[in-house]
Amino acid sequence: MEEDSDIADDLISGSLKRSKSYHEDYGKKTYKEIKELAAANPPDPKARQMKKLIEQAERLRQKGRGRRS
Amino acid sequence: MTSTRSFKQKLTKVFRHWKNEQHDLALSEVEELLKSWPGNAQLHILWASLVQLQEQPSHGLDEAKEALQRAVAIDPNSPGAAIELGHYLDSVEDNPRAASKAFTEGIRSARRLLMDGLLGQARALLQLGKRADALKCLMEWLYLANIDNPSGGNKSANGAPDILLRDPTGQILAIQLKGPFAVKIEELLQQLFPERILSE
Repeated sequence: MEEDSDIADDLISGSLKRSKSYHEDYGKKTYKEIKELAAANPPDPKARQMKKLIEQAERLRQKGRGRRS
Repeated sequence: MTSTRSFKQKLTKVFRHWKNEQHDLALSEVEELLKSWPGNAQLHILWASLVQLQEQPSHGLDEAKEALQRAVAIDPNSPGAAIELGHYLDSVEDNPRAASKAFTEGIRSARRLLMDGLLGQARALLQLGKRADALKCLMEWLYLANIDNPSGGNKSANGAPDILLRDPTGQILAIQLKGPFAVKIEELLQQLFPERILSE
């Protein structure tokens, strides 16, 4: 599960970093910083996209954890 | 060997690697499985998911999307592929409009699958003499039927609905029975409420 203190680049897989929604200049921000920027009024579009990528990666990792092996 | 047992064993390995975050190894196993089971939509979904998780990508994101679209085409009535495609479109492509379309299809398939299961369960429970539990299944089915087809749920040709139902919010829903489940639901209603008033 992603923690607020985790760095975005550590949460987004190499593959998802190829998405147009990935912004290298936001890669060193923490998940908490990205969530705050995404929730700001108006929302920061880059942060909003990075947040989606982080949550997609986590969701897909969880798919593997959710199965008995 | 392409037996079901072999399939299950290999799939177990896939999830073991996946759990250990060895996504490349999991992907290799899925690719082996796909050689023997190319028409398995679930394998295409797994493949697309693992490609997205690779640290050193061996495939492009566009290939992951194509795999999800292939899974939808192979099994259009299965909700999993459409829902996974919806997540991809929203999260990776930041395209909520296209994502919403995919989610709509996935949700509709999932609802119909659940309705099929609820109807089967109600019939089984009635055979076991569990009338109250069967009735719960029927109520859930009717609630989903109303969501699935809200415009068709009001009045039949003679102006009267087939079923009146109070939903969990207290609202009265009028449902007209039609579609692939209509005959089975009518049979179920006759068993549950043999004394019910039928309007002509």
